[in-house]
Amino acid sequence: MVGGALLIVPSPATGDAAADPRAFVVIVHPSNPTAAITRTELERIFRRSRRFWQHGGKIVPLNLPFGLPARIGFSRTVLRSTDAELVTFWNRQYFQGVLPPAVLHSVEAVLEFVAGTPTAIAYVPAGRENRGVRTVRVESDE
Amino acid sequence: MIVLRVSRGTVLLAAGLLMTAQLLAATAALGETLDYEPGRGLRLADGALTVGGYLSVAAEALDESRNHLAVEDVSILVTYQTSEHLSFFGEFELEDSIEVDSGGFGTGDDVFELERLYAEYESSPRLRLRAGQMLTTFGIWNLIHAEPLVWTTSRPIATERFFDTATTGIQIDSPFDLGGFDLTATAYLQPGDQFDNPQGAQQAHTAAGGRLRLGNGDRWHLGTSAVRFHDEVDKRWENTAGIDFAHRTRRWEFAAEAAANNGGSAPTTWGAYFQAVYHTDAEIHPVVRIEHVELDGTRGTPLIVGVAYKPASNIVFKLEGVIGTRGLGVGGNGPLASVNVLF
Repeated sequence: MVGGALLIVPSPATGDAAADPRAFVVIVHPSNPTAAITRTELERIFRRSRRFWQHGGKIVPLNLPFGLPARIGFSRTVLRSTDAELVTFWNRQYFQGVLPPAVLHSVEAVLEFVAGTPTAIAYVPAGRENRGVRTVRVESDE
Repeated sequence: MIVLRVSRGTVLLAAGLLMTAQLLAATAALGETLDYEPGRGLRLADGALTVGGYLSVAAEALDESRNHLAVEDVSILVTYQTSEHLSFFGEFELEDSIEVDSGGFGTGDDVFELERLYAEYESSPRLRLRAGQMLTTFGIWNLIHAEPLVWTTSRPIATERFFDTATTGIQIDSPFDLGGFDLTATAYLQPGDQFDNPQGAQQAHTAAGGRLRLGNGDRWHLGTSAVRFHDEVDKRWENTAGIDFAHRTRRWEFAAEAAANNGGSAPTTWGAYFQAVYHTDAEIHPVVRIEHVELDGTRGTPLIVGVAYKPASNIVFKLEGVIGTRGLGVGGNGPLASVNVLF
């Protein structure tokens, strides 16, 4: 199912949000019952401090490659960090045995992985989601 | 006289690295893709096993110790995720393995330490259980003390003098959501000796402690830690408590810690530091740190001014000057430099 997604753009939209290359939607496997998630919870998942779904199963977060506009948008709006800040964060986590989310090489690879992995969560550029995944509404912290 | 010391451990490690290089070359020759990322280790067994580590080479010219150039640390980090809930983590460290100084002849220290080895069981989002040897969950610096992860070659005195930096036992971590902030409660117990206890300022035989940390991602946190332990060096029960704080913006990173120790009838000793780091787009990071310590009748207020340069995400060069440390047992005043690689 596709629909109900909140398009997220890293700065106030000045026109069509979907036209902003940094806009993204959060996707999960169709069997995942999560309909909405807060930005804070999403940040915890992608910083690997929250590792299990409430309904069970270890969360498998996925990243897009460095430099893609959607990844930049996701880092700024959800993780509220620059790439340099995240490098420092993950270097310190690596020392504790915690690795960052796996990076898949393309949007297509992310869509395919999420479609085949019930516990996966990822983000893709707005408009690139397909019928093999389900979008999750991202709610603001307020 | 300049002396070069090479320990047996170094020879073994070099042999191991050569064998690993041969294995990797053979794998590459077969056309296999290696899942290796600098600073994130080599992932094997479909990502279940990760092998990485770090290397630190440091030079110092302090006025209360011999000039010194050494491979300070060669550490191997191994993470093995055996199932959804259970993982193992190990850190094996070779310290001061290659050393050049201006003193007399001597053998290498040949210290191959088991720094950490523990199992972690994560039963739910609210509970993590660790068992084994781990870093003592006290303050900030002790948990990220590896050279590539910190901005100075020198370590604040207050982060290692007042408690044993390692704990062997069990630990429970419980993270909570507190009004949108992250609250983590930690409790640990060490019922006996360490597996492999480095010769630190404090050596706990039995210990119990805990920590509370309230924060918001990695943007800021407040923490408080406490531990009671039987010190094998001074043969007495001691109590140490501390508070810490960190805050970062896009350009600035601030950190502060304070710790105080009371051992029976002995006078209370304490120490604190405040550190500020400025981040530039050129990956040049000026850093300044001021400390104050009161140790067994000796007091001092060290000042550290330095700069770190990160030409890559996993490499950092550091240069700093230290003053105000005379009599504090850290080698004295002068310059320090290091190059550190996370691999």
